[in-house]
Amino acid sequence: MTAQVGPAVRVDRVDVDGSWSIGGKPHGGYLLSLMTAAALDDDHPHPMAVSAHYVASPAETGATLEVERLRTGRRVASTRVRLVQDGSPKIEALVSSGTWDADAEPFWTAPGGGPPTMPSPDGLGRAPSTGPTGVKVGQLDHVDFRPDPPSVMWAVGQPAGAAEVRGWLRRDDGADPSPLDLLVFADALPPVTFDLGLFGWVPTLELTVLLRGLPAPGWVSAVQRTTLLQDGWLDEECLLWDSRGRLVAQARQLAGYRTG
Amino acid sequence: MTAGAVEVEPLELDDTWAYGPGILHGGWLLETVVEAALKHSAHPHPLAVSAHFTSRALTGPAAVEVEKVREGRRVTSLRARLQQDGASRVEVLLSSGELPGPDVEPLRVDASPPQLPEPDDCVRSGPPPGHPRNGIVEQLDVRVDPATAGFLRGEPGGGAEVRAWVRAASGREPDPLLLLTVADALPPVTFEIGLRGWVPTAELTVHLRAVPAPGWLRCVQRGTVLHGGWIDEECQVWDAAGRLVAQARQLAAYREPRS
Repeated sequence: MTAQVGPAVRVDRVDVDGSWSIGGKPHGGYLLSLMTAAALDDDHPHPMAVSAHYVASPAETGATLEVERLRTGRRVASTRVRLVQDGSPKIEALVSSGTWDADAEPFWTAPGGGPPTMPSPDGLGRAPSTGPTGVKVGQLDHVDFRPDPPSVMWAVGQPAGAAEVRGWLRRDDGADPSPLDLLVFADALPPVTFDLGLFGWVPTLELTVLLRGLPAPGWVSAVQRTTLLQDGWLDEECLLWDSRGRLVAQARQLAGYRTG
Repeated sequence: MTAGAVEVEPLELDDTWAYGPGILHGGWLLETVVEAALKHSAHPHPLAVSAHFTSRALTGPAAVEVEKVREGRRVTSLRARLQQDGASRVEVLLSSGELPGPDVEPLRVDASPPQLPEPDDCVRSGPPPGHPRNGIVEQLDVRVDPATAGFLRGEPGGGAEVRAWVRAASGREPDPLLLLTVADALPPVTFEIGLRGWVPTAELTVHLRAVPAPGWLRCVQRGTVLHGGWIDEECQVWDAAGRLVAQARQLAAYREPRS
């Protein structure tokens, strides 16, 4: 359903699928993929930069998306999207979109900018959709996440203190990844705080994802790490490479943590 | 200001921070917008700032439109737009809060400040002979590590990393707003790869992590991939006390040389 409000704001109704929720809270990457989809058009079908501020905790109920096209350029379109539930804004997002050439090769890649070295996903176990404290982690029913075992020792009660999570990702239905799937993947890994023995909720305040190319078919490899935990806030960076080893997404979020 | 209300503040964009023929500096535009938005915030400091540069801002009259989206206990959420002639120039999302001061210790830090020679042994960034004036390096004293300043000598070093000391030329001590400008102030890493040309920012996000101490700021900027005309640039800003005070990442456009 689509309605026009004013000259520039379109309002879409979307359903929020509760099977994606973490302990009853809809997954942030899933909601961001719904918002981003609403910003795309035929001439600008691929998200390139997506920035989201999580304003208030969303609920497992239907939502409206307020979509405002700010500029339609030849190369880039800019769009603002607000997710509203029960009259209150829950997420604010900005989307810059364009078109990726599927065949383009990187002009330059920094040394060390390649994917992590890990065992093949075929030999690794799939992460369960129940977290270390028994909380339901719904996105892991939709995403097949195969962690590199040394990076998830907390799952067997032995946090290693390295605060880095590595693994392979693909859709549960086996379909090849799309740019919208990368938005989900970029927020799908367990928080790095688990490896420090901190098992509390890590709510995202801000998440920006840069999409760097169309992902090739197959598994996506991922590394998530942090630079600084201070005063209740941490940064988490998640890098995604496609099956050809090309960097396809760079995400960074600022999130809250608790030590007690 | 109540949640949902929109306020508009007119302002004049002059060419103090312009590069060449009136290309206004993105970081300074962002600082200008965030300064206007913070007047409507219950919290004093920017924590996370995301900006999409939607069209080219010009010198002359403009306005900042600010909407308070939500005021929470720990964070105020705001939306702001720099507009000119009815068009959005810069679209900004801001989460504000209170940044820690010097007495708050990190729980964990996995990086260290960039190592570079003393400021007097570095190369002051300025427009090469024959290039247009650059307001950014008139307003900021940017001292580039000679090891990453090959482009200033016409000998690009080939690595996509630039390290520099930065402070305001006016003597203004660093504050959280200045960090927004500084996070976009280093020369583009493309220069060290040997590419010329302007590198306009499409998107810039800055996470602020602490109130900076007085003195020189130490910055390191890196790029990871140049692909399809787009480059990522990451900038870390460290203060004189050796604390990480800002982390920024941007997506910017570059031009590949014609073969």
